[in-house]
Amino acid sequence: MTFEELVKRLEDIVVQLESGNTKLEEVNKLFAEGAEITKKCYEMLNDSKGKVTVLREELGKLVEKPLN
Amino acid sequence: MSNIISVSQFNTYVHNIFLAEELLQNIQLYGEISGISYSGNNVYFSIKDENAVLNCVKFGLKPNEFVGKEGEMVLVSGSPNYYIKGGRFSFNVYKIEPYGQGLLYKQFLELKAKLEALGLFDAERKKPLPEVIKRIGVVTSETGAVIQDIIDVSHRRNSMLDIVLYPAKVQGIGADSTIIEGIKALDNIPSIDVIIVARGGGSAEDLSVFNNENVAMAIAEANKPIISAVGHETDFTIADFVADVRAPTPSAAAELVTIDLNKLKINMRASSERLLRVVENLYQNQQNKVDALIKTIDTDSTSLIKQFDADYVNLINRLNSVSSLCIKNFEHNFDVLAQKLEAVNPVKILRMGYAQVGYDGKILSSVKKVNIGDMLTLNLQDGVLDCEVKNKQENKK
Repeated sequence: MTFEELVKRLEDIVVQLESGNTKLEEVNKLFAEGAEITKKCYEMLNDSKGKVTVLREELGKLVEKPLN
Repeated sequence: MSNIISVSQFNTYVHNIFLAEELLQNIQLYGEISGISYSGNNVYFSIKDENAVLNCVKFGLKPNEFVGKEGEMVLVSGSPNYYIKGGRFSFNVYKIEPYGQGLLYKQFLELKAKLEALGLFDAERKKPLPEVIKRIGVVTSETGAVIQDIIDVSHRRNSMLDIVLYPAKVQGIGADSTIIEGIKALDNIPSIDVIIVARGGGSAEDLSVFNNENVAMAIAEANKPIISAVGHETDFTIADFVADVRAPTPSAAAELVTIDLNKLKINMRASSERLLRVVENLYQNQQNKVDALIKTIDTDSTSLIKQFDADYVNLINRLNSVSSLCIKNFEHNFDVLAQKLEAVNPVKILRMGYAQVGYDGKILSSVKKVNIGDMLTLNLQDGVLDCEVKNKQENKK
Protein backbone atom coordinates (compact mmCIF):
# COMPACT_ATOMS: atom_id res chain seq x y z
CA MET A 1 0.00 0.00 0.00
CA THR A 2 1.15 3.54 -0.66
CA PHE A 3 1.52 6.13 2.05
CA GLU A 4 -1.75 7.75 0.96
CA GLU A 5 -3.54 4.41 1.07
CA LEU A 6 -2.12 3.65 4.51
CA VAL A 7 -3.23 7.03 5.88
CA LYS A 8 -6.66 6.49 4.32
CA ARG A 9 -6.92 3.04 5.92
CA LEU A 10 -5.86 4.50 9.26
CA GLU A 11 -8.55 7.17 8.99
CA ASP A 12 -11.14 4.52 8.10
CA ILE A 13 -10.12 2.47 11.14
CA VAL A 14 -10.46 5.50 13.41
CA VAL A 15 -13.86 6.40 11.96
CA GLN A 16 -14.99 2.77 12.39
CA LEU A 17 -13.81 2.74 16.01
CA GLU A 18 -15.28 6.17 16.73
CA SER A 19 -18.67 5.01 15.44
CA GLY A 20 -18.88 2.90 18.61
CA ASN A 21 -20.37 -0.04 16.69
CA THR A 22 -17.36 -2.28 17.04
CA LYS A 23 -17.17 -5.38 19.16
CA LEU A 24 -14.39 -5.42 21.71
CA GLU A 25 -12.42 -8.22 20.05
CA GLU A 26 -12.75 -6.35 16.74
CA VAL A 27 -11.52 -3.20 18.49
CA ASN A 28 -8.37 -5.04 19.50
CA LYS A 29 -7.79 -6.20 15.93
CA LEU A 30 -8.39 -2.75 14.43
CA PHE A 31 -6.24 -1.07 17.04
CA ALA A 32 -3.39 -3.46 16.31
CA GLU A 33 -3.76 -2.77 12.58
CA GLY A 34 -3.86 0.99 13.19
CA ALA A 35 -0.74 0.84 15.33
CA GLU A 36 1.00 -1.23 12.66
CA ILE A 37 0.03 1.32 9.97
CA THR A 38 1.37 4.19 12.05
CA LYS A 39 4.67 2.38 12.40
CA LYS A 40 4.80 1.60 8.68
CA CYS A 41 4.00 5.21 7.75
CA TYR A 42 6.88 6.51 9.83
CA GLU A 43 9.20 3.95 8.28
CA MET A 44 8.09 4.97 4.79
CA LEU A 45 8.60 8.64 5.53
CA ASN A 46 12.09 7.99 6.77
CA ASP A 47 13.14 5.51 4.12
CA SER A 48 11.72 6.34 0.73
CA LYS A 49 12.81 9.12 -1.55
CA GLY A 50 11.31 9.65 -5.01
CA LYS A 51 13.58 8.95 -7.97
CA VAL A 52 14.07 11.29 -10.92
CA THR A 53 14.95 9.53 -14.16
CA VAL A 54 15.23 10.43 -17.81
CA LEU A 55 14.36 8.26 -20.82
CA ARG A 56 17.36 7.74 -23.08
CA GLU A 57 17.64 5.72 -26.23
CA GLU A 58 20.11 2.86 -25.97
CA LEU A 59 20.43 0.38 -28.83
CA GLY A 60 17.07 1.47 -30.20
CA LYS A 61 15.34 1.04 -26.87
CA LEU A 62 14.27 3.66 -24.36
CA VAL A 63 15.78 3.07 -20.94
CA GLU A 64 15.45 5.00 -17.70
CA LYS A 65 18.64 6.63 -16.50
CA PRO A 66 19.16 8.84 -13.46
CA LEU A 67 18.77 12.53 -14.28
CA ASN A 68 21.79 14.61 -13.40
CA MET B 1 40.43 47.41 -57.52
CA SER B 2 38.29 50.53 -57.24
CA ASN B 3 35.67 48.23 -55.64
CA ILE B 4 37.65 47.92 -52.44
CA ILE B 5 35.89 50.06 -49.78
CA SER B 6 35.71 50.24 -46.01
CA VAL B 7 32.86 48.83 -43.88
CA SER B 8 31.82 52.39 -43.01
CA GLN B 9 31.71 53.34 -46.64
CA PHE B 10 29.64 50.25 -47.47
CA ASN B 11 27.16 50.72 -44.63
CA THR B 12 26.77 54.42 -45.45
CA TYR B 13 26.11 53.52 -49.06
CA VAL B 14 23.41 51.00 -48.14
CA HIS B 15 21.95 53.42 -45.62
CA ASN B 16 21.64 56.07 -48.32
CA ILE B 17 19.99 53.68 -50.75
CA PHE B 18 17.11 53.15 -48.30
CA LEU B 19 16.89 56.90 -47.64
CA ALA B 20 16.81 57.67 -51.30
CA GLU B 21 14.03 55.20 -52.08
CA GLU B 22 11.00 57.42 -51.71
CA LEU B 23 8.58 54.54 -52.15
CA LEU B 24 9.83 53.08 -48.89
CA GLN B 25 9.40 56.25 -46.82
CA ASN B 26 6.38 56.69 -44.52
CA ILE B 27 4.76 53.44 -45.46
CA GLN B 28 2.34 51.22 -43.57
CA LEU B 29 2.91 47.51 -43.05
CA TYR B 30 0.73 44.96 -41.36
CA GLY B 31 1.89 41.85 -39.62
CA GLU B 32 1.80 39.85 -36.44
CA ILE B 33 3.72 41.33 -33.57
CA SER B 34 6.26 39.08 -31.87
CA GLY B 35 9.25 39.16 -29.54
CA ILE B 36 8.53 42.48 -27.87
CA SER B 37 11.25 43.84 -25.63
CA TYR B 38 11.58 47.21 -23.98
CA SER B 39 14.65 49.30 -23.31
CA GLY B 40 13.91 52.58 -21.63
CA ASN B 41 11.45 54.47 -23.81
CA ASN B 42 12.28 52.33 -26.81
CA VAL B 43 10.50 49.15 -27.86
CA TYR B 44 12.01 46.47 -30.08
CA PHE B 45 9.85 43.86 -31.80
CA SER B 46 9.25 41.95 -35.01
CA ILE B 47 6.26 41.82 -37.25
CA LYS B 48 5.75 38.78 -39.39
CA ASP B 49 3.50 36.80 -41.64
CA GLU B 50 3.78 33.09 -42.53
CA ASN B 51 6.81 33.62 -44.80
CA ALA B 52 8.75 36.63 -43.53
CA VAL B 53 9.87 38.53 -40.48
CA LEU B 54 10.79 42.22 -40.14
CA ASN B 55 12.73 43.72 -37.23
CA CYS B 56 11.17 46.94 -35.95
CA VAL B 57 12.06 49.61 -33.42
CA LYS B 58 9.94 52.37 -31.95
CA PHE B 59 11.85 55.14 -30.21
CA GLY B 60 10.45 57.55 -27.64
CA LEU B 61 7.46 55.59 -26.51
CA LYS B 62 4.94 57.84 -24.71
CA PRO B 63 3.08 56.68 -21.60
CA ASN B 64 0.03 54.51 -22.47
CA GLU B 65 0.97 54.49 -26.13
CA PHE B 66 -0.36 51.39 -27.95
CA VAL B 67 2.25 48.74 -28.71
CA GLY B 68 0.20 45.53 -29.01
CA LYS B 69 0.68 42.08 -27.54
CA GLU B 70 2.45 38.99 -28.75
CA GLY B 71 0.67 37.43 -31.70
CA GLU B 72 -1.49 40.45 -32.25
CA MET B 73 -1.94 41.74 -35.78
CA VAL B 74 -0.72 45.34 -35.99
CA LEU B 75 -0.33 48.09 -38.55
CA VAL B 76 2.99 49.91 -38.25
CA SER B 77 3.77 53.24 -39.87
CA GLY B 78 7.41 54.18 -40.51
CA SER B 79 10.42 53.94 -42.76
CA PRO B 80 13.22 51.41 -43.28
CA ASN B 81 16.56 52.26 -41.82
CA TYR B 82 19.93 50.63 -42.25
CA TYR B 83 22.17 51.42 -39.28
CA ILE B 84 25.62 52.37 -40.35
CA LYS B 85 27.27 51.57 -37.02
CA GLY B 86 25.74 48.12 -36.43
CA GLY B 87 25.25 47.18 -40.03
CA ARG B 88 21.71 46.15 -39.23
CA PHE B 89 18.47 46.75 -40.94
CA SER B 90 15.33 47.64 -39.10
CA PHE B 91 12.02 49.29 -39.71
CA ASN B 92 11.80 52.57 -37.86
CA VAL B 93 8.27 52.81 -36.52
CA TYR B 94 6.58 56.06 -35.49
CA LYS B 95 3.13 54.61 -34.93
CA ILE B 96 1.65 51.19 -34.05
CA GLU B 97 -2.07 50.45 -34.46
CA PRO B 98 -4.13 47.28 -33.99
CA TYR B 99 -4.89 45.55 -37.27
CA GLY B 100 -7.56 42.81 -37.14
CA GLN B 101 -6.69 39.40 -35.72
CA GLY B 102 -3.21 37.96 -35.92
CA LEU B 103 -2.73 35.19 -38.46
CA LEU B 104 -1.36 32.71 -35.94
CA TYR B 105 -4.31 33.59 -33.79
CA LYS B 106 -6.59 33.01 -36.76
CA GLN B 107 -5.03 29.59 -37.35
CA PHE B 108 -5.33 28.91 -33.67
CA LEU B 109 -9.05 29.72 -33.77
CA GLU B 110 -9.58 27.57 -36.87
CA LEU B 111 -7.84 24.54 -35.33
CA LYS B 112 -9.65 25.10 -32.07
CA ALA B 113 -13.01 25.12 -33.86
CA LYS B 114 -12.08 21.99 -35.80
CA LEU B 115 -10.98 19.99 -32.75
CA GLU B 116 -13.91 21.24 -30.74
CA ALA B 117 -16.23 19.97 -33.48
CA LEU B 118 -14.46 16.59 -33.24
CA GLY B 119 -15.45 16.53 -29.58
CA LEU B 120 -11.85 16.59 -28.30
CA PHE B 121 -12.64 19.28 -25.73
CA ASP B 122 -15.75 17.56 -24.34
CA ALA B 123 -15.82 17.39 -20.58
CA GLU B 124 -17.00 13.74 -20.61
CA ARG B 125 -13.86 12.53 -22.39
CA LYS B 126 -11.58 14.16 -19.83
CA LYS B 127 -9.90 11.55 -17.67
CA PRO B 128 -9.81 12.33 -13.97
CA LEU B 129 -6.45 12.36 -12.23
CA PRO B 130 -5.90 9.18 -10.21
CA GLU B 131 -6.40 9.53 -6.48
CA VAL B 132 -3.02 8.03 -5.80
CA ILE B 133 -0.13 9.26 -7.91
CA LYS B 134 3.22 7.57 -7.28
CA ARG B 135 5.00 8.16 -10.57
CA ILE B 136 4.66 10.91 -13.12
CA GLY B 137 5.97 11.33 -16.65
CA VAL B 138 7.07 14.74 -17.86
CA VAL B 139 7.49 15.77 -21.48
CA THR B 140 9.62 18.91 -21.57
CA SER B 141 13.08 20.22 -22.23
CA GLU B 142 15.83 18.53 -20.25
CA THR B 143 17.58 21.86 -19.82
CA GLY B 144 15.87 24.90 -18.43
CA ALA B 145 13.85 25.86 -15.44
CA VAL B 146 10.66 23.91 -16.17
CA ILE B 147 11.80 20.40 -15.25
CA GLN B 148 13.67 21.79 -12.27
CA ASP B 149 10.55 23.63 -11.08
CA ILE B 150 8.48 20.49 -11.44
CA ILE B 151 11.02 18.42 -9.50
CA ASP B 152 11.42 21.07 -6.79
CA VAL B 153 7.72 21.78 -6.26
CA SER B 154 6.61 18.16 -6.37
CA HIS B 155 9.37 16.90 -4.09
CA ARG B 156 8.84 19.71 -1.63
CA ARG B 157 5.26 18.51 -1.31
CA ASN B 158 5.77 14.77 -1.74
CA SER B 159 9.34 13.56 -1.45
CA MET B 160 8.26 10.03 -2.42
CA LEU B 161 7.11 10.91 -5.95
CA ASP B 162 8.99 9.31 -8.85
CA ILE B 163 9.53 11.51 -11.92
CA VAL B 164 10.36 10.19 -15.39
CA LEU B 165 11.44 12.82 -17.90
CA TYR B 166 11.16 12.48 -21.64
CA PRO B 167 13.56 15.12 -22.95
CA ALA B 168 11.73 16.92 -25.74
CA LYS B 169 12.28 19.94 -27.94
CA VAL B 170 9.63 22.44 -26.94
CA GLN B 171 10.09 24.93 -29.76
CA GLY B 172 11.38 25.17 -33.30
CA ILE B 173 11.61 22.63 -36.09
CA GLY B 174 10.91 19.05 -35.04
CA ALA B 175 9.52 20.05 -31.64
CA ASP B 176 6.10 18.59 -32.47
CA SER B 177 7.48 15.12 -33.24
CA THR B 178 9.61 14.89 -30.07
CA ILE B 179 6.64 15.95 -27.96
CA ILE B 180 4.42 13.36 -29.65
CA GLU B 181 7.09 10.65 -29.17
CA GLY B 182 7.43 11.64 -25.53
CA ILE B 183 3.71 11.38 -24.86
CA LYS B 184 3.60 7.95 -26.51
CA ALA B 185 6.73 6.65 -24.76
CA LEU B 186 5.52 7.69 -21.30
CA ASP B 187 1.99 6.47 -22.04
CA ASN B 188 3.49 3.02 -22.66
CA ILE B 189 5.17 2.78 -19.25
CA PRO B 190 2.62 1.03 -17.00
CA SER B 191 3.99 2.37 -13.71
CA ILE B 192 3.41 5.99 -14.73
CA ASP B 193 0.15 7.42 -13.41
CA VAL B 194 -0.01 10.85 -15.08
CA ILE B 195 1.84 12.72 -17.83
CA ILE B 196 2.67 16.42 -17.71
CA VAL B 197 3.38 18.15 -21.00
CA ALA B 198 5.15 21.34 -20.05
CA ARG B 199 6.92 24.39 -21.35
CA GLY B 200 7.93 27.68 -19.81
CA GLY B 201 6.71 31.08 -20.89
CA GLY B 202 7.60 32.54 -24.28
CA SER B 203 6.27 34.38 -27.28
CA ALA B 204 3.20 33.10 -29.11
CA GLU B 205 5.55 31.73 -31.72
CA ASP B 206 7.62 29.93 -29.08
CA LEU B 207 4.48 28.24 -27.78
CA SER B 208 3.14 27.49 -31.25
CA VAL B 209 4.09 23.80 -31.15
CA PHE B 210 1.41 23.38 -28.49
CA ASN B 211 -1.08 24.67 -31.06
CA ASN B 212 -0.02 21.91 -33.43
CA GLU B 213 -2.79 19.58 -34.55
CA ASN B 214 -0.66 16.42 -34.32
CA VAL B 215 0.42 17.27 -30.78
CA ALA B 216 -3.22 17.86 -29.91
CA MET B 217 -4.18 14.46 -31.33
CA ALA B 218 -1.37 12.70 -29.41
CA ILE B 219 -2.66 14.26 -26.19
CA ALA B 220 -6.23 13.24 -27.03
CA GLU B 221 -5.25 9.67 -27.87
CA ALA B 222 -3.14 8.99 -24.78
CA ASN B 223 -4.51 6.43 -22.34
CA LYS B 224 -3.13 8.11 -19.27
CA PRO B 225 -4.43 11.44 -18.01
CA ILE B 226 -2.46 14.34 -19.43
CA ILE B 227 -1.88 17.68 -17.78
CA SER B 228 -0.88 20.57 -20.01
CA ALA B 229 1.30 23.22 -18.42
CA VAL B 230 2.39 25.60 -21.10
CA GLY B 231 3.66 29.14 -20.64
CA HIS B 232 2.18 31.53 -18.15
CA GLU B 233 -1.25 31.63 -16.63
CA THR B 234 -2.57 33.90 -19.42
CA ASP B 235 -1.33 31.66 -22.24
CA PHE B 236 -3.91 29.29 -23.69
CA THR B 237 -2.90 26.70 -26.25
CA ILE B 238 -4.77 23.97 -28.12
CA ALA B 239 -2.92 21.48 -25.90
CA ASP B 240 -4.63 23.09 -22.90
CA PHE B 241 -8.06 22.49 -24.40
CA VAL B 242 -7.37 18.87 -25.35
CA ALA B 243 -5.54 17.90 -22.19
CA ASP B 244 -7.48 16.24 -19.38
CA VAL B 245 -6.38 18.97 -17.00
CA ARG B 246 -4.91 22.39 -17.76
CA ALA B 247 -2.41 23.69 -15.25
CA PRO B 248 -1.74 27.42 -15.49
CA THR B 249 2.02 26.88 -15.03
CA PRO B 250 4.45 23.93 -14.74
CA SER B 251 4.71 24.53 -10.98
CA ALA B 252 0.94 24.38 -10.70
CA ALA B 253 1.03 21.05 -12.59
CA ALA B 254 3.51 19.74 -10.04
CA GLU B 255 1.11 20.73 -7.29
CA LEU B 256 -1.78 19.00 -9.04
CA VAL B 257 0.02 15.65 -9.14
CA THR B 258 1.26 15.73 -5.57
CA ILE B 259 -0.66 15.41 -2.43
CA ASP B 260 0.83 17.57 0.25
CA LEU B 261 2.64 14.89 2.18
CA ASN B 262 3.23 17.29 5.04
CA LYS B 263 -0.52 17.67 5.35
CA LEU B 264 -0.84 13.91 5.09
CA LYS B 265 1.75 13.52 7.83
CA ILE B 266 -0.32 15.80 10.01
CA ASN B 267 -3.44 13.79 9.15
CA MET B 268 -1.63 10.59 9.95
CA ARG B 269 -0.47 11.89 13.29
CA ALA B 270 -3.95 13.15 14.09
CA SER B 271 -5.42 9.79 13.10
CA SER B 272 -2.91 7.93 15.28
CA GLU B 273 -3.80 10.14 18.21
CA ARG B 274 -7.49 9.67 17.55
CA LEU B 275 -6.91 5.92 17.34
CA LEU B 276 -5.31 5.89 20.75
CA ARG B 277 -7.98 8.13 22.24
CA VAL B 278 -10.89 6.19 20.79
CA VAL B 279 -9.52 2.90 22.04
CA GLU B 280 -8.82 4.37 25.46
CA ASN B 281 -12.35 5.73 25.51
CA LEU B 282 -13.77 2.43 24.36
CA TYR B 283 -11.98 0.60 27.15
CA GLN B 284 -13.04 3.25 29.62
CA ASN B 285 -16.60 2.83 28.39
CA GLN B 286 -16.32 -0.93 28.79
CA GLN B 287 -14.94 -0.40 32.28
CA ASN B 288 -17.79 1.99 33.03
CA LYS B 289 -20.24 -0.57 31.72
CA VAL B 290 -18.74 -3.26 33.89
CA ASP B 291 -18.85 -0.91 36.88
CA ALA B 292 -22.42 -0.04 36.08
CA LEU B 293 -23.23 -3.71 35.72
CA ILE B 294 -21.71 -4.46 39.09
CA LYS B 295 -23.75 -1.67 40.59
CA THR B 296 -26.86 -3.03 38.93
CA ILE B 297 -26.13 -6.45 40.32
CA ASP B 298 -25.67 -4.90 43.77
CA THR B 299 -28.91 -3.02 43.47
CA ASP B 300 -30.64 -6.10 42.17
CA SER B 301 -29.48 -8.26 45.03
CA THR B 302 -30.64 -5.71 47.55
CA SER B 303 -34.02 -5.64 46.00
CA LEU B 304 -33.96 -9.41 45.75
CA ILE B 305 -33.21 -9.61 49.43
CA LYS B 306 -35.92 -7.12 50.10
CA GLN B 307 -38.25 -9.26 48.07
CA PHE B 308 -36.99 -12.33 49.83
CA ASP B 309 -37.52 -10.66 53.17
CA ALA B 310 -41.04 -9.79 52.20
CA ASP B 311 -41.64 -13.31 51.04
CA TYR B 312 -40.13 -14.65 54.16
CA VAL B 313 -42.36 -12.55 56.34
CA ASN B 314 -45.24 -13.68 54.30
CA LEU B 315 -44.16 -17.26 54.68
CA ILE B 316 -43.79 -16.92 58.39
CA ASN B 317 -47.17 -15.32 58.64
CA ARG B 318 -48.60 -18.10 56.59
CA LEU B 319 -46.72 -20.68 58.62
CA ASN B 320 -47.96 -19.04 61.77
CA SER B 321 -51.51 -19.01 60.64
CA VAL B 322 -51.23 -22.56 59.39
CA SER B 323 -49.58 -23.78 62.54
CA SER B 324 -52.05 -22.06 64.79
CA LEU B 325 -54.77 -23.71 62.81
CA CYS B 326 -52.98 -26.99 63.16
CA ILE B 327 -52.61 -26.47 66.84
CA LYS B 328 -56.25 -25.63 67.13
CA ASN B 329 -57.14 -28.75 65.20
CA PHE B 330 -54.83 -30.76 67.30
CA GLU B 331 -56.35 -29.35 70.44
CA HIS B 332 -59.77 -30.11 69.12
CA ASN B 333 -58.78 -33.63 68.22
CA PHE B 334 -57.17 -34.05 71.56
CA ASP B 335 -60.43 -33.00 73.24
CA VAL B 336 -62.31 -35.56 71.24
CA LEU B 337 -59.77 -38.15 72.10
CA ALA B 338 -59.87 -37.21 75.72
CA GLN B 339 -63.60 -37.44 75.71
CA LYS B 340 -63.41 -40.88 74.11
CA LEU B 341 -60.82 -41.96 76.61
CA GLU B 342 -62.98 -40.57 79.37
CA ALA B 343 -65.83 -42.62 78.03
CA VAL B 344 -63.87 -45.85 78.47
CA ASN B 345 -62.32 -44.92 81.81
CA PRO B 346 -62.86 -48.05 84.04
CA VAL B 347 -63.06 -45.82 87.10
CA LYS B 348 -66.11 -44.20 85.57
CA ILE B 349 -67.59 -47.68 84.84
CA LEU B 350 -66.94 -48.81 88.41
CA ARG B 351 -68.70 -45.68 89.56
CA MET B 352 -71.77 -46.94 87.73
CA GLY B 353 -71.82 -50.06 90.01
CA TYR B 354 -69.75 -52.46 87.93
CA ALA B 355 -66.87 -54.41 89.51
CA GLN B 356 -63.60 -55.67 88.15
CA VAL B 357 -62.88 -59.32 88.96
CA GLY B 358 -59.33 -60.35 89.67
CA TYR B 359 -58.23 -64.04 89.76
CA ASP B 360 -54.70 -65.18 90.36
CA GLY B 361 -53.47 -61.57 89.87
CA LYS B 362 -55.20 -61.15 86.49
CA ILE B 363 -58.46 -59.58 85.30
CA LEU B 364 -61.04 -62.33 84.98
CA SER B 365 -63.59 -62.23 82.19
CA SER B 366 -64.73 -65.88 81.99
CA VAL B 367 -66.05 -68.47 84.50
CA LYS B 368 -64.39 -71.39 82.83
CA LYS B 369 -61.02 -71.32 84.63
CA VAL B 370 -62.65 -70.80 88.05
CA ASN B 371 -63.40 -73.69 90.35
CA ILE B 372 -65.66 -73.78 93.39
CA GLY B 373 -63.75 -72.77 96.50
CA ASP B 374 -61.35 -70.48 94.54
CA MET B 375 -60.70 -67.04 95.93
CA LEU B 376 -61.53 -63.99 93.74
CA THR B 377 -60.93 -60.26 94.31
CA LEU B 378 -63.66 -57.76 93.42
CA ASN B 379 -62.46 -54.24 92.72
CA LEU B 380 -65.17 -51.78 93.42
CA GLN B 381 -65.23 -47.98 93.15
CA ASP B 382 -64.03 -47.47 96.66
CA GLY B 383 -62.33 -50.77 97.71
CA VAL B 384 -61.56 -54.50 97.28
CA LEU B 385 -63.52 -57.53 98.37
CA ASP B 386 -61.97 -61.03 98.76
CA CYS B 387 -64.65 -63.60 97.92
CA GLU B 388 -64.88 -67.43 97.83
CA VAL B 389 -66.66 -69.16 94.92
CA LYS B 390 -69.61 -71.11 96.28
CA ASN B 391 -71.20 -72.09 93.03
CA LYS B 392 -70.39 -72.02 89.27
CA GLN B 393 -72.85 -71.73 86.47
CA GLU B 394 -71.80 -71.36 82.90
CA ASN B 395 -74.13 -69.59 80.42
CA LYS B 396 -75.39 -71.85 77.73
CA LYS B 397 -74.44 -70.89 74.22
